[in-house]
Amino acid sequence: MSFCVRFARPLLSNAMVMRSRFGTISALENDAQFDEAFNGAVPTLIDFHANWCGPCKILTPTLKDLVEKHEKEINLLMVDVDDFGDIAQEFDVNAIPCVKLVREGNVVGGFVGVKTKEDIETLIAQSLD
Amino acid sequence: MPELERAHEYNFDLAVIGGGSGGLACAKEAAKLGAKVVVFDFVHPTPQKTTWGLGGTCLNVGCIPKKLMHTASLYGELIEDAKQYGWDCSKVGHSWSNMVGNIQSHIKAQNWKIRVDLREKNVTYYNEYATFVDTHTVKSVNKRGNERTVTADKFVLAMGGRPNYPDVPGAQDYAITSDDIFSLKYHPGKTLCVGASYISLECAGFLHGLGIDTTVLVRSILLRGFDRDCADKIGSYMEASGIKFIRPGTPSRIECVKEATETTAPELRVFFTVDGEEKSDTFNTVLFAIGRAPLTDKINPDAIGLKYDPNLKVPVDEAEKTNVDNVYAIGDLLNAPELTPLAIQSGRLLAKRLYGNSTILTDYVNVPTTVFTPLEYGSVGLSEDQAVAKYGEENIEVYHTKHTPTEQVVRESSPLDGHNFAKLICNKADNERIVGLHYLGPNAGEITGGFSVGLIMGATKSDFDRLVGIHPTSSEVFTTLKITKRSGLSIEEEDC
Repeated sequence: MSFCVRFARPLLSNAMVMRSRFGTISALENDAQFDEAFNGAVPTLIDFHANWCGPCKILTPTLKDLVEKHEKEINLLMVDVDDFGDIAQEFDVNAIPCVKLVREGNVVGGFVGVKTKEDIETLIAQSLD
Repeated sequence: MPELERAHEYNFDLAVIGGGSGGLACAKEAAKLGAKVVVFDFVHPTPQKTTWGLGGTCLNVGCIPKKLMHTASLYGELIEDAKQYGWDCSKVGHSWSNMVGNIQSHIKAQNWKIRVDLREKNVTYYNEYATFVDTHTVKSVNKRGNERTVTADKFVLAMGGRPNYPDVPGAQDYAITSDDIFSLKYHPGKTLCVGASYISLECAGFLHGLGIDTTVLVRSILLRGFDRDCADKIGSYMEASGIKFIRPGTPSRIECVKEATETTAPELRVFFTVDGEEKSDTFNTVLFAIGRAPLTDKINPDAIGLKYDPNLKVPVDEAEKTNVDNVYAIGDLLNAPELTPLAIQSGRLLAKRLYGNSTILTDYVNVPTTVFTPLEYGSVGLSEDQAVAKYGEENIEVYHTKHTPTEQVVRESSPLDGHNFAKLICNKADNERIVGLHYLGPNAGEITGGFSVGLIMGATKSDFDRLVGIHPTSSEVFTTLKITKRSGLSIEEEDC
């Protein structure tokens, strides 16, 4: 059985936190929420993006798809770099889209630019081993 | 990069107030030479609550969006002309929100690039409003009200200016300025542009070109300070194209008939005085472009005894130093052409003199510029009036001509014809040295930019005559100028 989440708009409003079968998909609203995701036990893909960034619009749906369907629990946290420039700076984000895979207070993997779902799967698998 | 030997104990070698064209260029150059640099940039929202990111006026609410909207409107003209070339352009419409969305995406991407660039070049950036405490100390505040104190050995003032609002009831409540037009969330509707500045005329020009009902309210002459022949032709072209002019007139009050919503412009009743009589009309948007004021008084200049003029411009010596020994000023703060490339040049050269042992000063003479009205106007050097005042009428020879760009020959004749124009102003007492070059026509920026190197090298009329033109282009008109104004001969183009 597969749990499909249908979205009315391509990106979620800040107020929505979607629970897919496996992980949560949310958009960053405040610093506390970020700390929770960064330090949590569940690995989280942090998707640094902006609404003026074309490649970001291609990557984000791929990430969502992956989080919904992944057999392990992985969360997705979308961070708009225009709203959270200081967090982007802290994580040395110089080009977007930029994804950092984090768990328990550490950056365990990541990539920059658009990648296929398969490539991202491979990167996640390698990082979590 | 090498660190400078520091002879002071301040937080930074250089603090730049204002992250626009001049400030950023200066900061990055100084950092490249080893200085420890901080940039303060903060935009106070407009009365209509518009704000924007790092990069200054040019990127956010000036040159860049202006050129893009001017280009959008030119495409509309070209689509019309394309019909004469055989294109079927029957289904053509324009979406204001698509255009603004794409332009703003570009601007925001640049805001981001600039932030990253500063980080990569080791320039500290604070999105905070800085004011002076003393000659080595500023206090800065961020949008949440948090304060910090920063000390620096030297300061560069590069805050630029903001548009003026008139003292007219309703102006600040209901009218916008160039700070708002480029990100306007709703279609502007029927628009009144108040002012005869290039900002007013450029805005009126592109708005009309996008199919918007546009009126310009002017107190007296158009484009004060520019060459009079060219300014008159620009006005005549705009009128011939359907832009309405109310001249002379001044606004007296603005009333709101219907408030703006998230997606629609307001309905405003504008009262203005024409020939002593009060008249009124309804508009959806009123855009004031009546002048800009430098932000000199906003940085607490009295704390350092900074001298500035009543119009808030900051007098500096040829090395951009103010009356305060460790404080410099560049860009729109100065009594100099308010142009991005000039601010960038002076910012870079200043940094090189402060931290790189250079002695090269910025040359403020023969700085080319272009007004992107529907009929574009490029100029470098003096206007005819300025040349006559400087050299005396008997020493000035004006060569001029009308011209028709080849691209426009396959086009139905219209009242727009006959406005393209070229003028060279020569000093007869100096070998007919070119002291002013003026061009009205398409691609004015490209053409004027190219020819300007001739002026800074001291070209004479015979140098221009020696040059063989490229055919068929508009630029070649400068290589065949024969008729002088003094001769009184007609420059009307002959029929075939």
